[in-house]
Amino acid sequence: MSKSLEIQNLKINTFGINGQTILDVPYFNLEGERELVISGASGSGKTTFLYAIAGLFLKLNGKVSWDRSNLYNLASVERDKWRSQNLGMIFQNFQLLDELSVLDNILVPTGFDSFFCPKDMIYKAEKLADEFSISIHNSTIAHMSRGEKQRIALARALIKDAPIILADEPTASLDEANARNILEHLRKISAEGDKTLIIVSHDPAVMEQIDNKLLLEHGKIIKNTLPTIPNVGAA
Amino acid sequence: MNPSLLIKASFRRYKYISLAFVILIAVAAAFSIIISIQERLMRQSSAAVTNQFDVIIGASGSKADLLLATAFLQSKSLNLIPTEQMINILAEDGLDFAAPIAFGDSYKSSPIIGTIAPFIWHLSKDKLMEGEVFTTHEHAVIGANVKLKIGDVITPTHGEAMPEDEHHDEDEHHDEDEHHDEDEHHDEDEHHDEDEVGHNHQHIGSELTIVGRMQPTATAWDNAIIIPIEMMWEIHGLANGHSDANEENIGLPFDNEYLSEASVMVLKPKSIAAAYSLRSEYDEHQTTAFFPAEIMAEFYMLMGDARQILTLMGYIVEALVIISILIGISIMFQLFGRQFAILRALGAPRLYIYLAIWGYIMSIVVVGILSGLLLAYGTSFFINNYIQSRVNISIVTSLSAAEIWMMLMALIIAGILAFFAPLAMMQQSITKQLARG
Repeated sequence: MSKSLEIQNLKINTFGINGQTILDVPYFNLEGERELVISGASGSGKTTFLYAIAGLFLKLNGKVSWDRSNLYNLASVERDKWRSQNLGMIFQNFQLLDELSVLDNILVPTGFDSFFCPKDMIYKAEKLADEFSISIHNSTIAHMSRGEKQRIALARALIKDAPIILADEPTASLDEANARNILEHLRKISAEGDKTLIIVSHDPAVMEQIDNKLLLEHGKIIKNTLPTIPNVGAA
Repeated sequence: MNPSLLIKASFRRYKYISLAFVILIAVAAAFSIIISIQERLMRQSSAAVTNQFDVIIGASGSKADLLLATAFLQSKSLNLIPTEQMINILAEDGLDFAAPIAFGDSYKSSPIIGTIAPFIWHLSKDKLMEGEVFTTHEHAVIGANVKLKIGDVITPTHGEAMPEDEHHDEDEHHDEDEHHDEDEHHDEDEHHDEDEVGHNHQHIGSELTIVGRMQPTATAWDNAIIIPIEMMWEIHGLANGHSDANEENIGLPFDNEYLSEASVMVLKPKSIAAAYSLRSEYDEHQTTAFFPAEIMAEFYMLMGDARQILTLMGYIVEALVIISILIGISIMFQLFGRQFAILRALGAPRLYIYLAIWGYIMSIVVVGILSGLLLAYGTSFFINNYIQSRVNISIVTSLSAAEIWMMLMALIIAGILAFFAPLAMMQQSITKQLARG
């Protein structure tokens, strides 16, 4: 079952006395919906929004609740565990570990739970690599194309079958065909596994395919197409 | 949770820095271990040598010179023991043996020493490696390391032995001399073939046949050629210790009227009381008597102070290197903290990240210390070989429990210090680090 997300009085400022507000969300609710696309101009706070709901800030003002449990009330150890068990993340710049092999990069999240990587995980990583046309025989990823790196990041996010997938510009580095393929794949996996899929994207194709849209500007929500909205921050 | 993947990745990413850290730790560790090994081995080896000489008696003079000449066969200009004192010593009760020892000749790099058979049995632990002890004046027994074989015939040279490398040139020189002198001295039974310096000369006509080889003694005597003291006296034109009627006799008893002087006498007393009594009796104006351990104890005291200072310096160097490296690694990880931010964003437990950083640091320290141990062993081996070739003392290079413990302590301390290194890393903001990517 997809997870519910509720945000209340979320405010993130830059550091310092004159710190500027980079995200200000009085209220946001994603309940009963599986998909959301967040868009906005560069610097509008999209990635900050994604990081906030991923629980990546040490602390912040406001509440970010998944299934009615405030993520920022959890101790950092518990929050790490929550991320490990619930999130599959795709970062804007892929954030791969260059010194690891393709397969090891895909398998990184599986190493947090067990000392030896389970064989079924290796099999799954190889299957994902095959699905996304990733050559696992390339031992180093430093010289791979952005498209290839993007697909590895995607495979890494899906390896643990997490119930929430947060994807920051997942199609940005891909050609049209690959972008379509990746998006279809993400949506299919999300639908089949009843996962929550939140995508940050500029891509019109993505915007076109996903019904629920959130538009950010200067850290504020200026448009929200979600049907169940008790309160809209920009209102 | 298996951070080995990440540790491996860190080594790949920072391979040159890691190598530099390993080398630094290895050199620092080796420095402190070498000091410890060398001090210990010198102490043990010199003690092992001097333990084989219970009481040494020489003509009055420097005890250190007598010890160096007798135990380490370091050539010293020694006064000779007056024969009347030798007679008294030889007549003493309470002795297993009193061995007169005469130095002065050599063959290639081996000193030739005159003494009596019981002293050979004593040094060789009552059993020869091969052959037998001399039974005639023309026989010789060699030390375990002498590069001669049973049946070889040698001609002694008057003067001290020289190291192999120096001797090589001298050999060529001698060959020329021998050839040159043949014409002049061809009809003489025995003559002295002098070199240009006029110091060393061969005792032509005094050929010696090797008949036995001693067991290793771990002393300079392993490189010595030992002949009956009678032969040594004869070669030098002295009375050979036996009357004309018994001139072919060998060893004890000597005829007092025919006894010649010796450089030193080594005594093997039957009891501790006898040892103290003899030392006290012969440590007077004509002779010097002493236990080698007395001299070594003074030497160890001096050496001990120096060792303490050097060991302390070694520890300080090692500690500074490890601290510097920990700081270096901490800075390194601060600079390249993105990887850890990625892992934390993916949900890696803090312990996983912590173990990855700690594991990387400790891998460097462990490899560094193990390399340091090997480096120290290799260097000590090299140093000891050099010392052995120069000082004629047998040193078996080894690592002691103390040295292993020293390194274990360094490892434990590094492990504790490394405990703090990842802490700063954990305080960094994930979002800031990710923004750098």
